Amino acid sequence: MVVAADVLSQLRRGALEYCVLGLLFREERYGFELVRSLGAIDGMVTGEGTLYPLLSRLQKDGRLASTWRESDAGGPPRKYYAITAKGRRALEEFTTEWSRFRDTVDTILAKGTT
Amino acid sequence: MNTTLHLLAEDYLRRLEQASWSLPSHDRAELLAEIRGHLQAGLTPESTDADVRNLLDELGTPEDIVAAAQASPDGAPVSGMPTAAPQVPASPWGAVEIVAVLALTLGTFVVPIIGPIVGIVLVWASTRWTHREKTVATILTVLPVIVLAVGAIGLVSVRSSGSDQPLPVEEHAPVVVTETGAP
Repeated sequence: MVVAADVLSQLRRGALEYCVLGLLFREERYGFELVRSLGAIDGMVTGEGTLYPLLSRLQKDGRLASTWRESDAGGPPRKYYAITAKGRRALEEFTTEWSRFRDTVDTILAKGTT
Repeated sequence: MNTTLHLLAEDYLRRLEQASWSLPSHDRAELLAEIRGHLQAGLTPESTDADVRNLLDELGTPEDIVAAAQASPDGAPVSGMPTAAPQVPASPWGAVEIVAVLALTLGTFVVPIIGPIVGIVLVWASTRWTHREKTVATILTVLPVIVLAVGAIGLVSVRSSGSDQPLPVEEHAPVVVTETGAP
């Protein structure tokens, strides 16, 4: 089922940045924590390191903002990521479109298999 | 910020540094700082070799990370799929580039002034050439004009200063405008 795997990897690729925005919707997180939580979701990310360029791109787009902050335990400073107003709008828009898309596909697939 | 990490982690960062030479320097520095921060956050002095290998495996290869950083914003791989082919640099010669060079060379003789101007505009419109190459092309085109102008001004001021030494002006071989603007 190479074709299905390919389609899923495309979908995953497209949805990934919205998953990043979604994880930051309620609270800011620092890079390591954010990347580890995405990496822990089964099949979402192939290499955690590849998320850093994505974070940097989202920041260039103005959908994320970041600040370096000292860590409490006296460790190295951490880069915290937060969602911006533009990021929130993009996420809300995607959420609506995504539900619509998912429902349409589900409906068609259900007709095909019953 | 630059505390030394486990040897395997430092080795990984070195590989990433080598693999990322083609990235813009700001992006590269940021990426290296982020990955170093990741390793610092994920490892303790007590971490074993196995712990380090585990964390590095989950990061993916330096090449995958660089491929993700090079990917264009629209659609190209951002999650570093293992199948991501290394980016082959496109040929530096497209229609715009060829016409630009023709305008800068032949254009100078066929339509003086306008030819090179069109050429420079086309050079800057090119998506294949780097900023540096464009700057060099522009300087090579404009420099002879400036040299000529400065020379002419110099000549006029020498003449009008009323020097009674006859200057063999004509022997200052007429400067030929050769505008080879090709980078």
